[in-house]
Amino acid sequence: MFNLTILYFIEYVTPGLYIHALFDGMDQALEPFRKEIIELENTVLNDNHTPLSLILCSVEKYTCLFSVLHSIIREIRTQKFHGCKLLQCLHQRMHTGIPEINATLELMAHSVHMVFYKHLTSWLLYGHLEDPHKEFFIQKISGCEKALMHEDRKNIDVRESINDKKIDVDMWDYNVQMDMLPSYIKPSLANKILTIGQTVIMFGNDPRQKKDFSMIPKTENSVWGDKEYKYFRKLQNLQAKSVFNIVEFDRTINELKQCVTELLWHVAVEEAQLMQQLRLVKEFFLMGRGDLFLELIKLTTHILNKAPTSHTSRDINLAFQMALRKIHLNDESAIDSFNFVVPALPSENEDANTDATDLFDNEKQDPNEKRGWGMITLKYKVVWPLHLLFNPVALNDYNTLFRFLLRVKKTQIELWNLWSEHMHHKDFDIGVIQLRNNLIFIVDNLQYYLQVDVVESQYAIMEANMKNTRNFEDIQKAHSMFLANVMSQTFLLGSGTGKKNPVNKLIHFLLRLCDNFILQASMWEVGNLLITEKDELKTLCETLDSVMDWLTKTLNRVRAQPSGEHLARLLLRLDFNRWFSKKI
Amino acid sequence: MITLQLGQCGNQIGFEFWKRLCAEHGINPEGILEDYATEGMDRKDVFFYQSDDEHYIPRAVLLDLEPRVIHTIMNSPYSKLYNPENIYLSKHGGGAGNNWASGYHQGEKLQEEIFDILDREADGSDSLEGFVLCHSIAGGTGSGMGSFMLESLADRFPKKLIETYSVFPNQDEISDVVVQPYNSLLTLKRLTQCADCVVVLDNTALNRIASDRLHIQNPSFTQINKLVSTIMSVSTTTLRYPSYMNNDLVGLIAPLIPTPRLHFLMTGYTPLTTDQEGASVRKTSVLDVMRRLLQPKNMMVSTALDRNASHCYISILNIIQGEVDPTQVHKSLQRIRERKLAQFIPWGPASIQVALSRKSPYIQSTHRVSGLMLANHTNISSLFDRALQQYDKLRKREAFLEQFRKEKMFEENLDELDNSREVVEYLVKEYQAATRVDYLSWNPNKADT
Repeated sequence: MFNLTILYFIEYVTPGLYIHALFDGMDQALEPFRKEIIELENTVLNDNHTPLSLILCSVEKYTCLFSVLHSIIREIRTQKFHGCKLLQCLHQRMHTGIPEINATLELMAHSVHMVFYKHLTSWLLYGHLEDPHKEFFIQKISGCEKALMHEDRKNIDVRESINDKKIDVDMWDYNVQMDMLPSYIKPSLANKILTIGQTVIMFGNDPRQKKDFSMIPKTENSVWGDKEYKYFRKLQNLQAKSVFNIVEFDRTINELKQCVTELLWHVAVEEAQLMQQLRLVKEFFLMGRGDLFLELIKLTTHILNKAPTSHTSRDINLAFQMALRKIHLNDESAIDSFNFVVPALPSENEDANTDATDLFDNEKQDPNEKRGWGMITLKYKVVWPLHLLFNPVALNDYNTLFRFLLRVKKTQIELWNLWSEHMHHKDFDIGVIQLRNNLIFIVDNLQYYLQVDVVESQYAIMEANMKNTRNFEDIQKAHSMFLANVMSQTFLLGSGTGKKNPVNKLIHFLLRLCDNFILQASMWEVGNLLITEKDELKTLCETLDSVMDWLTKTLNRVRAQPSGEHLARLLLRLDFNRWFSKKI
Repeated sequence: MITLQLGQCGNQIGFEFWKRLCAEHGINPEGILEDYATEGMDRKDVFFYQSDDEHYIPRAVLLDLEPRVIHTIMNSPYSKLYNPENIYLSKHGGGAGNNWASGYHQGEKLQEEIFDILDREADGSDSLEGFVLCHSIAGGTGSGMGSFMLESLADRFPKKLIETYSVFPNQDEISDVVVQPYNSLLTLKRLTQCADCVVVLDNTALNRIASDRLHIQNPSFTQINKLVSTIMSVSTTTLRYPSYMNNDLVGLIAPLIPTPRLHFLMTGYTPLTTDQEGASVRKTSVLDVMRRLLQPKNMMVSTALDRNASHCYISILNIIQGEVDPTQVHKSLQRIRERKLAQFIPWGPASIQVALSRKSPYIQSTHRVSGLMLANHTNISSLFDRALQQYDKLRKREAFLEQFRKEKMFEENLDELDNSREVVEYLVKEYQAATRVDYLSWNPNKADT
C-alpha cells in the first residue's frame, strides 16, 4: 500500500538521485513495518480467531511514523523540494523526541547523505561535478546568470577572454546556491568547499602543464598527490557514519582547505613570485614609476585629449613602448605584462562637435570622461594562478584608480608647464601667479596624500601581512583589504554606482577648475591682463575659494568619526598652515 | 640634465659630485658598470649617457680659465670618465684674476667654442630638461664667466630650466679676493634674473657645520666639498631613483618657488657624519630627521637674525631616504604642526612636502633614515643684505675699481654695478615683503622697508 504511494508520488516530483536515495532510505525504514505485517499475516493465517485489537495494537504504533513520513512527502511534493533541500527538510523534523521516528529519519538522512558525500568527494578531490539534476549545493552558473554577474568583466575583457577562456571559465563558473544549503552547513563552510573544488579545477587547468594535452587528466592529482588516498578514506569514513557528524565534517574540510591553501601559497608566492607581481602592479597601475608616466603623459597628451578612435589604442601602446625604452626599463616580463586599451566610442554625432556641447555639459560632466583620459584601460597579463587575486573585479578597481591617478598627474604636469612658462616673464600679474601657486599646492598635496598617505602606507601594511603568513587565504584577504582601503581612501569606492562620494565630487571639481585655468591662462599675457581676463581670473579665484571652503568643511566634519582618519590626513596636507580654514 | 662646472670651485664640487654619483650608480672611475651593479632600478640616463662601447659618460661640461683644478681631475683615477671633448681650458691659461669683468668678457670671447660643446651635448640628450651650473660667486671665472653663461643659456635655451649650485664666500675669514663683494653682487644679479632655481651653498655655514657638527678643526676643501656633493646628490635623488613624485626638475622646484624671483633655496642635511666617525650611530626616525632639519644649526646657510621682520618658510621639501614607514610621515607632520616648529608665510597655503626616496644599494650607511631639506626661506635675504653691505663699504671708498675699469663693460661708467646693486636690493625687499600678509599687493616700485 505504502510502496504504491511512493511510486505514485515519484511521478510528481523532479527526478533525482537525492529523492531516490530518500525513498530507498524510507523503504529501508519501513522494513520493520513490513516484517510486522508479514508476522501479523502469519499469525492471522495460523489463528482464525485473532482479535482485531491485536492487529490494531501492532499496527497502531506506526501511525505516528506514517503521519510524519506523509507530511514529509506532502511537503516535498508541494514545495517541489529536490537535491540538498531534501536534507534540510529531513533535518527540520529530526528532533521529534520520539526514538522510533528519530531512528527512521536518521536512516533516511544517512541514505541521502551517501549521495551527498559522493558528490562532495568528487567535487573536493577532483573538482568534478556529475550532477545532471542540479542537486548539489554547488552549481554551475547558468548562462544568463553569469552574464549578470560578470557584466563588468565582459565589457572590458573582450580581448582577454578569447585567450584565457579555457583557463578562466571553469573555475569562476561555480557558485554556492544558498537556498540549497542545509542549515547545518554554514555558508562559510560551504564557501570553503567551493574554494577547494575551484582550486582543484584551477590546478587542473594549470597552463604550465597544458603543453602536453594527453597529460591533462593526470594533472588533477597534482593538488593532492599522495594525500589523495588519505583524504578519500577520511571522506569514506564520514560517509559511513550513520549520523551526519558536523564537527568531524568541519574538521575534515578545514584540513583539506589547509592543504590546498598551503599549496596555493607555495605556487603563488614562490613560483609565480607574487610579491614581485604586486610590485609591478603598484608600479604600473598605481603609478609607482612616476617617471614612466611622466614620459607617457608627455607623449600621449595630444592623443588622450581627443575622443578615442579605432587607432588610439595602437598609438598609446606605441608611446608606452617609447616611454619604457626612454626610462631604460629592462625587465622584459614587466614590459610584456602590460599594455593599454582605449575603447573607441560608437560614433555619435554629439561627439563630433564636442566643443559646442561642452558649454552645456560643462556643469554636469567632465569632458575628459569621454576623451582618452576617461576611457584608457591598462591591461595586465595575470601570471597563473594569481588571477585568484587579480580577478576581473579587482582589475577593474585598479583601472579606476589608474585613471584617477593619471588624471591628477596630468593636471599636475600641466600646472608645472604653466609654471615654467611664467618663470620667463619679467612682468606678471601676481593674481595669476598666486592662483597657479594655490592650484599647484593643492594638486601636489593631493597627489602626496594619494600616493604616500594612501597607496604607500596601505601597501606597507599589506606587505607586512603577507610576509607573516604561509596561508594563501590570508594573502587573499590582505590583498582585498589593501584594494578596498585604497579605493575608499581615494574616495573612489562606489564611483560606478552613480552615487558619488562628496569628497570625490569636490576633487573632480577642483581638477576641472585646474583644466579651465590652464586653458585660459595659456592664452593670457601674464604681464598684461585685459579687463575681461581679469574678470575670468576673479571668477576662477572665487570658485577655488568656495570649493576649498566646501572641501575643508566636509573634511573637518567627517574626520572626527572613527573611519575618517584618512580625511584628517588629507586635511593636514592641504591645510598645514591653516590657510584655507582661516579664510572661512 | 647637462651639468656645467665653471672655475676652480665649480670644478672641485663638480668633481666630488660625479665621484659620488658614480659610487651611487655602481659605475667605476673609468665609466664601466661594476659587476655588482645589477639592481637596475635607477635612472643612470639622467646624468650619464652611454657611449658606443658601453662606457657611462657624465653629461658634464668642464670649463675653466686656468688649468690647475682640471689638471688635478685629469690626473685622478676619474680622468677617463669624462668626455675629453667636453673639457674646455682657455688657451692662455691665465685665469680671470678673480675679476668678474675679466671672466665675463673671456666668456663672451669663447662663447662660440663653448656653445659648440653645449649644442652637441643638448642634441645628444633625448629630452633635455635643463642645465645645472656649479660655480662660486666670489672668484673670477665661476662668477664672471658663470654670469655670462647664465645670460646666454637663458637666451639660447629659453625653454630649458637652469638650476645652479652657487657657493657663497665664507664671511668669517678674510678673503684673498679683495673684489669679492663686487663679484658677488654682479653675479647675484644674473642669478636673480636668469636662473630658475639657485641652491645656495654658503661656505660660512659649511665651515661652521664642519667644525661644530663634525668636529673637524680646520676643515679642508675636500671635506667641505664632500658636504656639498652630498647635498647635490641627495637633491637629485628623486630624479635618479624614481618613485611616485618629483621625477623631473620642474616637479622638484615648481612647488618650492612661488614667484619668479624668490628662487633661492637653502638646504639642510641630517644626520651628518664623517668617514672617520661612522661609529656614533644614533637612532634615526622620520620624526627625528624632519625635526632636526628644521633646526638652524643644520642649515647650510648662515643667516643673521633679523629683528625687523618675522622670517618664515615659503615652502619646504624634505627628501627622506632609507627604511621609512610611510605612516610615520603623517605623524611627523602632525607633531611638527602641533609644536609649531615651522613658521610659514601668511599669504598663501604652505606645508612641508615629503618625498620618500630610495637609497643607492651600493653605498652602506650606518643610518636608517637620512634627510635633506630644500627650503625657500625669507631669511635668505640676510645673506644678500650682507653682500650689499660689504659692497657698499668697498664702493664708498671707490676701492679696487681700476681693474674693472680696464674691461669693456666698465670702461665708460660703473652703471652695471649700480644696476646690480639695485636688483639685489630689490630682491632683499621682495623677500622681506614675503614675510608680510600683504605680499600679494606689494608694489615693487613703491619704496618701502
